[in-house]
Amino acid sequence: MPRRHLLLAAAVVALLALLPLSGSTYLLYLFTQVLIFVLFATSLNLLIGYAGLVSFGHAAFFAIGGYGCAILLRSYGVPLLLAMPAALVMTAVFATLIGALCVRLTSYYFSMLTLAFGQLVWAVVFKWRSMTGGDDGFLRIVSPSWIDTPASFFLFTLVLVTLAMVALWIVAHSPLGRTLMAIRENQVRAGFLGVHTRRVQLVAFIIAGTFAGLAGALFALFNRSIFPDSAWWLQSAEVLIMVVLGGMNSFFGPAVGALTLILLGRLTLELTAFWPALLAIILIATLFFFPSGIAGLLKARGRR
Amino acid sequence: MLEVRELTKSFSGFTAVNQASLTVAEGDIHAVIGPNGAGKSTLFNLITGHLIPDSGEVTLKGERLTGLAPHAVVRRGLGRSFQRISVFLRMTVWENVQIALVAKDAREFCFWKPLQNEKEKIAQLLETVRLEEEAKVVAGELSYGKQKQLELALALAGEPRVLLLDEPTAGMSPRETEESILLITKIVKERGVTLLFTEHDMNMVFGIANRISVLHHGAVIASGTPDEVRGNHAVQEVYLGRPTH
Ligand SMILES: Nc1ncnc2c1ncn2[C@@H]1O[C@H](COP(=O)(O)OP(=O)(O)O)[C@@H](O)[C@H]1O
Ligand SMILES: [Mg+2]
Repeated sequence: MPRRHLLLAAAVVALLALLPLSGSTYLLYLFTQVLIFVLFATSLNLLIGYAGLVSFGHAAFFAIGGYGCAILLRSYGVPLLLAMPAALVMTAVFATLIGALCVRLTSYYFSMLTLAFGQLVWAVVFKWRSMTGGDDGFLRIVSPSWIDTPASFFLFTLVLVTLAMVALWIVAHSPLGRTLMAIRENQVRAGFLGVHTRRVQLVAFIIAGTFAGLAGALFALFNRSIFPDSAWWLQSAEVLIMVVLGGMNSFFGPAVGALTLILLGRLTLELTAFWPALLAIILIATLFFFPSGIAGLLKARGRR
Repeated sequence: MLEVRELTKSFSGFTAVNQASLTVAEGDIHAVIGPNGAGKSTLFNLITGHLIPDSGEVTLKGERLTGLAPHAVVRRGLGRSFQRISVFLRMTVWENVQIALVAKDAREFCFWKPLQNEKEKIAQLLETVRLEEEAKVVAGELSYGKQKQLELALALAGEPRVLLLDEPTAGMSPRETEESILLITKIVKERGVTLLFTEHDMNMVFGIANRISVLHHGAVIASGTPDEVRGNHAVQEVYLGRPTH
């Protein structure tokens, strides 16, 4: 089954690589956004699906990556190929600090603490006007000329997101992924097998946070701006809904969730004012009617 | 080898383990017996770091275990099973053992080494506990006795020097109990593992243990060879006229 998924994923990447041939700026923008959220949601699923750690503050790392990259690029004139890795290192450092505290707690307490840290990051971004532009946003982010067109930026995103997804796939299917699942199922037993459970969870937290940071950096470059909203809890909730909607028991489920939710958002543009309400309805419907998400539905159909 | 010194543990005023001391020598098969509620499981939980004692200490080969987290205790050569089965119920038997081996080799962060590399070792462990046939079965669907065997496999995977088994045969039929005890003693002798265990079947205990400690109301009231313990007055009082299971 997983091998088939990989083949399918490779085919999707190959098809996407041809998308610039369509010449449609609309499609290029749309799928750039989809790709970014595919990565964001998949990174969160390493925590939710594999580790069983429900983070309500994952957007914090999305924002740190985004602001980090943007500020280095514009305020300090650091070239992109340096600014991006530096932003990722920065995200990893924050993920280490925040994660070290969060994984000390379990279940609801873990979730509450991630929520609190997410809001803290938002508050810092919001208040630190001289650095971040506060609620006016951080604007006029200029990408280097080689990724200046919709097509070249799309391809840049496609390459990075594909590489990141491959890395996440390897992590999820490595001994680490298996160990995370074991801890999720029976933390006491895992400890008595000799697993330093907190350390393993922390490493997962750092990996998840760092890839969310990459998604955030791409998001800032894509929009040429970034706003405090990107750290706000609603952003964390949205990516969480992508994960739940797509299916957290499957590696590619959250990717499907990201695609679906973004397409839904586009189809209901007139309803933008009601988007949070719509999100809530989608979440409720998912939880009631297909709790293992779209991926779960597909799997069930495939089995029949 | 394993030295337990004056461990005490109270639960909101109730003293479950009271100044308990015992010594387990290398190669011993040491049984801890006592009526239900005597504090046997609590004692094991204190030794393995699952609970933190109010006072007292545990050393393994002179190294202090008290205060260490479970994973650190395990790394120092101690393995355990649980009275209440504690395996990964939603994983297959194979995956259960696989994760135990990953933990034993500290390979949690080896991203490049695929999980499939240890086929022979897993097969060997499953054979040891006689679960070869069930490799692909989800642990939650195993019979109770087989889950106990899996529990044993998980404890053995870490290649412990000292193995603590808390009622390894609880809930088994007399025949299963006998088979299981024979299997455990065989494994322990083959591997040169020191065994500390609790067991309710007195015939079994006196049949295989070379040391026995008796726990009563959390205190060790006797400790010695089976003959010494059998002849001990305090022990006779505790067990007098009372069926032992
Ligand atoms: N976590 C706990 N909280 C409160 N009381 C406990 C706890 N664990 C054990 N006890 C009590 O300590 C006593 C000893 O229990 P236990 O160690 O399980 O005995 P045994 O294994 O010998 O049957 C029992 O009276 C039990 O109710
Ligand atoms: Mg007990």
